[in-house]
Amino acid sequence: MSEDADCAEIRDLIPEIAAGVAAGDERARALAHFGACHECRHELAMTADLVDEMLTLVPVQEPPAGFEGRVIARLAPEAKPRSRRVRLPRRRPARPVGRAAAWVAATAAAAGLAAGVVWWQTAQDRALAASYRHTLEVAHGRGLSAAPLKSGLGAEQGTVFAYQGEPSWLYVTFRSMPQPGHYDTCLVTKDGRRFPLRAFEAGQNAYAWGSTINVQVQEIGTIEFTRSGVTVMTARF
Amino acid sequence: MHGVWALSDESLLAGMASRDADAATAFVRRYQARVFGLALTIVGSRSVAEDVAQEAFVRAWRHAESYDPRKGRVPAWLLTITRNLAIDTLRMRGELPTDPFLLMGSLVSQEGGTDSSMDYDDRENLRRALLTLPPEQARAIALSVFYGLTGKEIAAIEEIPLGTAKTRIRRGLGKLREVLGVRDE
Repeated sequence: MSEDADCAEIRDLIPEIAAGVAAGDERARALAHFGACHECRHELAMTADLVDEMLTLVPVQEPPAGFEGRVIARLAPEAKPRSRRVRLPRRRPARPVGRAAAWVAATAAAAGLAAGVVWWQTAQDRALAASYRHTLEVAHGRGLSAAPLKSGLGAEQGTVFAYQGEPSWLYVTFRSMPQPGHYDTCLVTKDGRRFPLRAFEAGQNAYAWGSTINVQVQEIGTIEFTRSGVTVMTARF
Repeated sequence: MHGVWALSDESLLAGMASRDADAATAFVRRYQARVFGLALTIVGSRSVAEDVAQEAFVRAWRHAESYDPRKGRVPAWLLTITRNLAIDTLRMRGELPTDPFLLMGSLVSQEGGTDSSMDYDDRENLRRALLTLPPEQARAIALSVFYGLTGKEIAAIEEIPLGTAKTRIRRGLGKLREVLGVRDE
């Protein structure tokens, strides 16, 4: 086959090669030709660029709530521990910290911070500030925020603490035991994105609930507790 | 983690290649709407599109170190992974593509993304060019580029000779390239 005839045949294949749909034998034949033909190689590059650009024209669509968290959960087992955690004293070499372990650590830190907030109401402000800074430093945190958790009628049911750190988390202390049952929880950001959180199973002596979060604390708009499809408690930040 | 958000796509991929969870989080947040949008456009179901989009990010995470910037920009690399997964899913489920005319209509809706090597004028020119393509050429291009059909498959669906199917794709793409001024002369 002459060179021109060869080029004509290969150029017929280029759209399918650029779109990634060419059969294996056709692709192999074309690749061999591209190695020796600058013009056809250039033709392929231009067509492939066009195909790439067409993919970027597709309209964006917000994925379902919680998508980001579900993806990260799939990647987490293969992730390295974050560098800040390496600074903690360890008796054994550093190893990946699972989300469950991180949650246990966060809950323990939350209990300490919640206790600190209660103490704040009875102690001098200067001592509190020192303790707050120390607690944040120990937990490698950057800040703590709080909002009242209210029923639909406006009665205060408890307090939601939001902690910015690694990981960031929410911790709720209830003033009295909530009505027993299953509660779905959701974080709604100020721009309206919804992130379902760990469910809350209210039962005997359930005076607290917590969950790690994947958004910045300053992005939080509301925290919702929903029971049987009805939002029964809301905290507004 | 603040500093991660300002990093370039290439830096985030480098972070993912070294298994940095913060880089992965920033990357997912940056591209999730674009990846999900493409998956949904191709498979037509939100639940299936979520599976495809999740898998696309997992593949990107696992193959981040094999990304070669000389072969294309990060958005194109990620969207190609997404497109291929969506096509595989359609084939496994034995489902027919969404109407290619609807798909091409969405491309010219001016709601597309901005992460592209094209400037605004090129993007608008490409949209206008898509609108001016003869319907049979636009349809053949959509079936090939977005649904991964070969010339033979398109010929069978359209009930036309193989040569005609290939000509429609080649001429259609050629017109789009002329609009973008990327002819190789």
